[in-house]
Amino acid sequence: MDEMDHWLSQLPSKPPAEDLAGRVLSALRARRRRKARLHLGAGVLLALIGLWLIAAPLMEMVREMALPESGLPLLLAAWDLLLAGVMPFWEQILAGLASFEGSFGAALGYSAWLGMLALAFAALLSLGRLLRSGTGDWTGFNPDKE
Amino acid sequence: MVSLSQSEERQLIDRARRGDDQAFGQLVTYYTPQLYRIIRRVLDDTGEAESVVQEAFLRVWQALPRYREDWPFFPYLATAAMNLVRDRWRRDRWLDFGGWDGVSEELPASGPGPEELAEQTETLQALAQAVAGLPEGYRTVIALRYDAGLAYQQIAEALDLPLNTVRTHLRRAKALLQEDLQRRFEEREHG
Repeated sequence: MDEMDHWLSQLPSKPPAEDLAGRVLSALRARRRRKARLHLGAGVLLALIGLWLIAAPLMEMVREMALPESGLPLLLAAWDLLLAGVMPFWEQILAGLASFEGSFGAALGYSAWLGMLALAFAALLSLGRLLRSGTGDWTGFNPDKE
Repeated sequence: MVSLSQSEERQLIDRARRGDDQAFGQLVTYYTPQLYRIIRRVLDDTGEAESVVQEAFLRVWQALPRYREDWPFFPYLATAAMNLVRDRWRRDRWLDFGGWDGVSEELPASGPGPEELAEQTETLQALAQAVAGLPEGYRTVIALRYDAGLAYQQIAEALDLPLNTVRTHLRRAKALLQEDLQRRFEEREHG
């Protein structure tokens, strides 16, 4: 350590405004609130879309099924109906969505699946809010280099 | 200010990573003056310096889930802040190392040392003015080295420069400062 090092390490500096740390914290809180609102909004939106998509197929399912059945047979029947709806969906995707109009009648099954997907995302968003601790792999010292 | 031991700092970071805002608040309160001092050395404008400090904490807070425990916190924070300063300067030019017109990199072995100029306060003020007059690139390495106390390697990481370049810049910055102080001393002697 030379003489210049000694002087430079004692350089006078301008102190920050007394409320700077407080302002930083307020900004953090505001950012967190905004983020929470965004998460909530996205979750609610997805949940609503999911419910909307799932409502029609559910009603259709209930109408088509033999109502006296209940319990496990009812669930199995519902599951079969959903699977029956999904398989043609993927086939049609692979075929280049050529017969989209023709498949619309069977679209209730897809709608149910999409609805469940949206509900699952909504649930994941909510869960993500609860489990905020990250597990990402740190690849460098720089917070902006990821 | 109450000093923060390494284990206390780790505990606070750990709590902050688990979503404890109060713990992060303590880190903010503790490190704000230190961070501001560096940024203020580098940026002339108070408002801009405050804005960088604020944004740096926000970035670090957002990056907390990816923060690795073996990184010292303050250099990490300083790096985030320097990235922001760099963004601001990128509009014009980043790390201008101009002002280097063949000044010898060797510090004069003889001649008036800073302590001979005047009393300590006066010398330090003169030196602070000389630092403020440095090109921004040199000012940055000086701030990171002496205000933040970063190691050469950490400065290199923060500025995205090779280690040897950092050493060279520091040596040149100090030579420029020495020259500036010498000139001030001579002006005072003759004026």
